Amino acid sequence: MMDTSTLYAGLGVLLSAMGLLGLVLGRHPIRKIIALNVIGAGIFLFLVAAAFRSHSGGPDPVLHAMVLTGIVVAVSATALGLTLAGQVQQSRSENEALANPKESKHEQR
Amino acid sequence: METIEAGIIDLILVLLLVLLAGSSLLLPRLFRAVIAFIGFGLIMAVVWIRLHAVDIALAEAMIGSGVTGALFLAALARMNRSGNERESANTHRTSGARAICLNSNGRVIGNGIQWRGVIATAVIILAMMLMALMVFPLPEPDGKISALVFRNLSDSGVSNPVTAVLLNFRAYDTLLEIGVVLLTLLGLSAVVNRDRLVGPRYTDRVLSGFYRLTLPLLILFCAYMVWVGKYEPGGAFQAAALLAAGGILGHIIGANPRPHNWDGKHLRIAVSSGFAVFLSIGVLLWVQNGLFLRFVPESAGGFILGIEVVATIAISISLVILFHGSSGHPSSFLGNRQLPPAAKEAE
Repeated sequence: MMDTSTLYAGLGVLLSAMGLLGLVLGRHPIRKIIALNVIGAGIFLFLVAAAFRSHSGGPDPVLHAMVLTGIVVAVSATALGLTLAGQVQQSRSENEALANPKESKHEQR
Repeated sequence: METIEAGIIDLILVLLLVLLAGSSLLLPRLFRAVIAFIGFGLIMAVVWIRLHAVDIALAEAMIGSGVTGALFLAALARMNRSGNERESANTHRTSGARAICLNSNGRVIGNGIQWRGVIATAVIILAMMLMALMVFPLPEPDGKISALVFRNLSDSGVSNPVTAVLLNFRAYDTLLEIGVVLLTLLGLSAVVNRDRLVGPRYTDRVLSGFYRLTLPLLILFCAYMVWVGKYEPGGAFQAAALLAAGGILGHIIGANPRPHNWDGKHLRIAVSSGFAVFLSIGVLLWVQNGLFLRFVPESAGGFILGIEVVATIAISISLVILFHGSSGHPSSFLGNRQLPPAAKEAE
């Protein structure tokens, strides 16, 4: 059997690779943002697996604090990304509505 | 250094994580992909506990899985709403959940796999294998930094090493992190089109009963979480996520959880208070002790608790507003402008 931190560090690398692939190959913006989050999870996993290895009185708290910071930053970035994606889609549908005025509902305003 | 052998449970968790990450990236229907991603976050929380990172497990379960999942679902519902405006004529997908399930815009790979995709895949796999070769086997930890933390823990004013690092030894990082949350809100208010956005409201009696029952408990548990962060896993971010969960639920059912006499200005003050208080304490300590954010052992505990309380309130309100922005709800943070009556009727 492998030791725990190597196993999870390897999983972290694998998840980052999967996320990167999803980011490049994904079409829909929401899919790309999910992929970004998977990359982030992989990196966090690698850091915490590394923190798990130092066993003098417990795992390394500096790395844990970094990951905690990272999680909060990741959720902020996700929110901003989703908002931007929504705006892009909205303006795209408005443009299409302007192109074919028959189906448009926005003309009422 | 001692090594700990991985058990069967670790292998199961690894398999589950790979499976769920794969489904969140590959499932053709975005709604299912988002659900798989929420499951992924929950399994991650179990993994953090396996790796003795209880602080991160709490944050992951509440923020990484809970709030992020809510953000994704809200954004998906909003995109389907605006997408349905032009598609509803030929598809009849009007009910919310069905519309989400039937959305097929989110395919990862279309009908024909393009050569660009193949090249990208090859390059990424190669790069990752090179990286893995460089990183493994993991080097021996020297443990100097963590030894430094544990040696100075008694002077930090708190006894939970992670809180000590977050708010004392590396408080600068956390200050900037709260700044990042504030910046995100600024970015959000810059792009959100205030006049057009009206979200759905679910006036569900079971949900509002649940909200009324759980909100006091959430607030109580949030206060406990802030307090216990000094000694045990917990702290401002986890508490903020709890409070934000209550706020998001309240907004979904239209209960409007903010105080009645608050308008956009109050909300803006509350949201920026975390950063402002943290910064002013930093400057105060600079004047007192000669260095920005240098705590002295006697007063550190009090300052840290103060920062945590204000940061909890600021971050939780920020998270609720971020949820609003992604779901397309109008938020009074985003400006005092009310919806013009014509726009209300049009929706």
